[in-house]
Amino acid sequence: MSHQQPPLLRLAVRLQAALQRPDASAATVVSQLELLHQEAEQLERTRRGLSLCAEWQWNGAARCLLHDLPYELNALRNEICRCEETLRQIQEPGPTLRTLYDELQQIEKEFGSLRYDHDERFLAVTTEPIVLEDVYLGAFEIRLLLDRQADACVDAALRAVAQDPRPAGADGLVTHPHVKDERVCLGDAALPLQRALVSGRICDAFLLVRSVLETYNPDSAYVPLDHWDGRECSECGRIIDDDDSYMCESCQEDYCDECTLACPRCNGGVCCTCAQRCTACNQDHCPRCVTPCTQCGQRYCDSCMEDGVCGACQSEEETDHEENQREQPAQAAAAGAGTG
Amino acid sequence: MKVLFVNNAGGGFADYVEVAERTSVAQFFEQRMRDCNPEDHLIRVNRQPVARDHVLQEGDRVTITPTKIDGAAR
Repeated sequence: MSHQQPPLLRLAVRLQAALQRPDASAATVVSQLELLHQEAEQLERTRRGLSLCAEWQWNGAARCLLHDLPYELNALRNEICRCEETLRQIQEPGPTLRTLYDELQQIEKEFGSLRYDHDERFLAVTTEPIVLEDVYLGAFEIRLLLDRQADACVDAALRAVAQDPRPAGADGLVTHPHVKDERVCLGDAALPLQRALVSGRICDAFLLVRSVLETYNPDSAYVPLDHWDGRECSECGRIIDDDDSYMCESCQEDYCDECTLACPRCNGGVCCTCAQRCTACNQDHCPRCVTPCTQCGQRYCDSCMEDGVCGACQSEEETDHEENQREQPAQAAAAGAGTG
Repeated sequence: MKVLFVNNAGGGFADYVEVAERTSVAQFFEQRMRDCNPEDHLIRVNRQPVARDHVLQEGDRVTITPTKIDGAAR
């Protein structure tokens, strides 16, 4: 008879292996102490130097040594902290199999279900659909990446995958005010979540992420909820609501009211980039309402042209015609005198 | 008596704390989480939801997790 471990127990075994801390051998501690010793030696050299300067009253040299002393003290302090952190991690026991099994049982109770993806090695739970300030965001699958949970940045180990995405109009990667590209910006949850993962309190980690997803912080959102259905002005980047956005009929992009204008000829919307100025009246029009003069090639609106010729060219034509008219009688008279 | 208190609000520390005999969960919350609203927290004793008048026992594991935490945006 084969004895198969229950699924949760098998998962707890996998989890325990994934949460194993790197082997902190004596060599690791020795190398850290070596660095600490180097900083201490530097401090000792500074001490001897200052002692000589005080004895011989080398004030200039003393000033130089005193200038560097704060940095040396800081470097020593940093090495001490690193040693302490390494020792703390060595001494803190990892979660037992029993603890992890209990964690998984609790996760099932809190979230209703639990999923383990064997290929991508993540543990996942799904929230209820989330609605924040009447904006429906859908449910999220919270994933704990087992290969990343020891990363220095705890948010590297987590993903929030929208199950019924309703991304912000201005940025399709933002599926939640605090989620961009499936990465959760943990804010106040970062520190307790890091401690939860170090201690193997997986359920607490999921609960903390859920709390972030169920809370709206308007002071620090990728896209504020009151602009959720808005879009970005293609010119200035301002987020605009649907009611306040205008589409340029030439380039078909969306703009705010400050970056669009109405063509005085056809009243169509046109952005500042596509707008074309009439050479005569100096007004901005949409590209359709400004055409080149057949004579000079400059661009004019219909009001400033007649039969495809601008006013300036027409005036020039008229002047030439008048001159021709004046010259014709004189030429005729000259021609008649010659034959008489 | 001692109970293990896992405080997921703030630093997320877990430590044994001394509590008086016959302290209820509500009293424990009042003592440890002053100015906080229990309605805004998940309170679990030995991983189970409990009533506010549940009396704590020696060695219990009490976890308090806020249900509202401010996220951020980079």
